[in-house]
Amino acid sequence: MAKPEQQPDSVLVIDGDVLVRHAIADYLRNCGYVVIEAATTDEAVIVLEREPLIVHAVLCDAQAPGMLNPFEFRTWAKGRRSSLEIALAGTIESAAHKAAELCEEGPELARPYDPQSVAEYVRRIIGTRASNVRTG
Amino acid sequence: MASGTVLPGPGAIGAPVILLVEDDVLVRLATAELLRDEGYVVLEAVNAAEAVALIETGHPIDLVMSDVRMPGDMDGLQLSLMVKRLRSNLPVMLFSSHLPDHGDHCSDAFLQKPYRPDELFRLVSKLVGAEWPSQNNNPTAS
Repeated sequence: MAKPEQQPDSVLVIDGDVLVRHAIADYLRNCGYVVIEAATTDEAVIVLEREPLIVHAVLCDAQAPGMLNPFEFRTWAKGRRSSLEIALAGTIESAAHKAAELCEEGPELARPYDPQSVAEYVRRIIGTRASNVRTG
Repeated sequence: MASGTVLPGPGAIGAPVILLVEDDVLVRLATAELLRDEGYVVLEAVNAAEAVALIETGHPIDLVMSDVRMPGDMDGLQLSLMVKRLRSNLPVMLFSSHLPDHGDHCSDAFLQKPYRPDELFRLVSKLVGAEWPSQNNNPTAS
């Protein structure tokens, strides 16, 4: 991921489900990222408009709530900064896969990572609400 | 959480855990980063419903910090009552520009906005860990 010099690596995680958002954010923090959590695309817009805060990558649930749907949000964010890396994830597995990809090139985890283990990590955290989780 | 469950003490999973409940994303971000820089693990919730969902996972939590005014069915005052129903000894700190005269609550401390970081850290360090000794004295508390 291209990033400006001397800026902490930061990822904006957007997900309306607090347990999924927390699990993905927690995982990325363990990989060394500064993680900003947003529950809606509205919150994400506020964060991205905030200067001089620099977000290097965005991981967004494809069903995230907000005035802008996630696809409109991606268009808006790309219009603001075309180099911003934005991944939309429709399932826990795809969110875990994207998080694992970010960790592979992240500041602390310099080794290949199995996305399945990330998905299992997410599921373990949200296990108390297993009947309610998004699945593929 | 099942009655009799022994909760980990503060820092048992590496660092004390604070559940921060704040609907303003920039205030939440700034406060969470302040606390993380001090070495705390911070769970973030945008409203009371999210906070309850996180508590109900059984994730170790040493302190709940909540804004008073929040959108949704439950404000910070009502959340403090709910937290004490779920875990009677878990400390709760409310923060706002002022504490309303009306409305029941079960908070252990109140921090007035705007607050300085040192005020925040002093109150947090005082409250973190309060549940653990009280639970040790009463092993059936949950």
